Amino acid sequence: MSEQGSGVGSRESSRESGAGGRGSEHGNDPTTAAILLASDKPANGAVSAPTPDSRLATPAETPDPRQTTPAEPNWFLLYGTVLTELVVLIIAFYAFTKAFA
Amino acid sequence: MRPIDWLVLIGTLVTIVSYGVWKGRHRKNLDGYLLAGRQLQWPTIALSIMATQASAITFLSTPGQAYADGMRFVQFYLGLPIAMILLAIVAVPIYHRLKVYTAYEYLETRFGPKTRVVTASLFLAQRGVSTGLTVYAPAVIVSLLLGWNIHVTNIGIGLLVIAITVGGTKAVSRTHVHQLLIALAGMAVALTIAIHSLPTDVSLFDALHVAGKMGRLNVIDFSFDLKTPYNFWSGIIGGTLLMLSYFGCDQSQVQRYLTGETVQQSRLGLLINGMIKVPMQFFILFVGAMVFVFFQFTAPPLFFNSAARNKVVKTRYASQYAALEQTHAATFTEKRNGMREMLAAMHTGDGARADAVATRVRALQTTDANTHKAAADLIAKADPAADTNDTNYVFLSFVIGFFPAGVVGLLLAAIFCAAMSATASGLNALSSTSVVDVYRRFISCDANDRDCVRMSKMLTVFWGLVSIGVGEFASHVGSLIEAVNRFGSFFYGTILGVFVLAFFFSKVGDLAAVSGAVVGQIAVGLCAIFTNTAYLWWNVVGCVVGVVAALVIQTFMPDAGVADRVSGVGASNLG
Repeated sequence: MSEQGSGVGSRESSRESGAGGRGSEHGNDPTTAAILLASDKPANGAVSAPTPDSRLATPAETPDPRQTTPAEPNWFLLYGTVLTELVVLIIAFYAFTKAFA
Repeated sequence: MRPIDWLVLIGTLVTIVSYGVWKGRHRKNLDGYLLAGRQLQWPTIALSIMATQASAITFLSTPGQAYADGMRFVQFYLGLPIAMILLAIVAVPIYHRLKVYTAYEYLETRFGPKTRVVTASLFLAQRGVSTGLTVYAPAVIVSLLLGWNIHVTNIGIGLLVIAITVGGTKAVSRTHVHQLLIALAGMAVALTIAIHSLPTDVSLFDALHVAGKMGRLNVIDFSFDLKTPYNFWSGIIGGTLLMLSYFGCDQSQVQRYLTGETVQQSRLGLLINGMIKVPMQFFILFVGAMVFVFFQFTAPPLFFNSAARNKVVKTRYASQYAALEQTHAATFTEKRNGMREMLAAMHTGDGARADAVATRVRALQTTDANTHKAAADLIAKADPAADTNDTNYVFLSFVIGFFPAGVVGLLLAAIFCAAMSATASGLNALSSTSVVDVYRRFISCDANDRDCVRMSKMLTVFWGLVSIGVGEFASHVGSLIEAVNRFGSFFYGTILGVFVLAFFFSKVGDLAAVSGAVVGQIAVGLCAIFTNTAYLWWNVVGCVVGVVAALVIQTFMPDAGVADRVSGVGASNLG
């Protein structure tokens, strides 16, 4: 879910980034970058500084349980699928080579 | 070219370029111009990544590679899925969180300006030449076979690409989708026609046996040999490092997945590419294998570069060339009879006889290869400037000679689309790196977005003209796809070494990283000049030597550079 959060941050940042603002954000500030990486937060400060949407939110506006956020893929399953496909392809290619040699 | 072919070709190109220009309008800020506003979804990212890698060279040269050398070239891509997974885990989250425009921008955050400058410069040099080759490759082949003017073709392709790329990354990525689909549709049509053009008594199963017995279905080779360019081990080890470097450190690819709306979208784009690329290359090589089978039953020309052949017959070597053509024709007839005899033996279940005939046919194949080499030598004598490697001309000769009206236009459109897709990414990345890593970093640090976008457009045009210029001077590069990959492998290992240091060795500083890169590059140079090591291993040498050298330098000179500038960047992310 943290990646979903950082994605929201990205959108906000791209909308808000004005002329010349991009370079001074953090690109030349390694300390900020390191801290942001270590804390697993987006680099543009979108989490620590409230976004326009979150500022407008009131306690009454609790998330609607019917509104589901996009499900985070099971990355290990996806990586495993890619590797499994590679192994299957290698075996199939080898069988193909031998079958018609 | 018949009128219907012209109609299909021009119609396709006009539609694609108009769509690209329309998509690229109204891009005023740098984020929108260079990274499509970071709003793209994984299907577009995946197809854009694939279209960037699949240039016209892929569609022209790869079938020729299978025709001449078999399908073992697919092993070159075996490391790609592994590289995609590693990049999805390590690089994508870091690039996204730092919100960089270029991969080299990250290196300054991690090390300092020296490393950024060195890697960005290596990229600009390497990609500047490679992009020129991707323009030149289809231009020279199409112009020679169709009798077009090479300069007009080269400049025409270059200008079409510039028109799309000036529209920015969104225009490039969106047109990539259509370009790749057209190119793949063209290859599917080519495969269908190749199979249907076989003699009626030769089934697809027979065709597979012919290709297999003649060594063209040699997809996997587990033997370990450093001098063999393509085997399982060079593909898995060298190929993984090459793909890590290409997709993780080459801005033309990094820029594709930096456009992802989220880390999730970028990762999915890479992983889908990892799943599709190997079967796609197998498919393109298989087209080449089927073209090979087609020419076992239909007489091929002695030399596929018809322009070179037409020149030699007008010189004093004409009679010698004619004699070689007669030898080639006689060998072909004997070989074709042998093929039929082999298939008849297989149909009757006489395996021993089939093997014996196959051995005889392979000997005839060797004789024919020697005749072909003698023809190439003769062509070189008649015209020292002639391209004596006709691998790149095989597929297009087949298309022009045997495809029906309209389909030739479609195939040419597919090749032009592929040329434009790869070149557009190259120009897009060259422009981005020039603006972000050079112009805004060192020349005009206070430039606003509008200035940067204007400069990006100007640099896109500049690099487009450089590419056209490189194309005007490029020749004698042999198999084009191999030439591009060899050239890339010369630099990619070193660049990857720097990124490995950035991601995994937090104590290494700027000077040590740069020194390691220099040592790694020298090692690759020595390896290329003084050994016969296959080029995929250069990636391993450049990366390993660069990393070890940097670690040694950092150990013995702990004050070298700005050590530990950003302690934990990358490494902290992996925990």
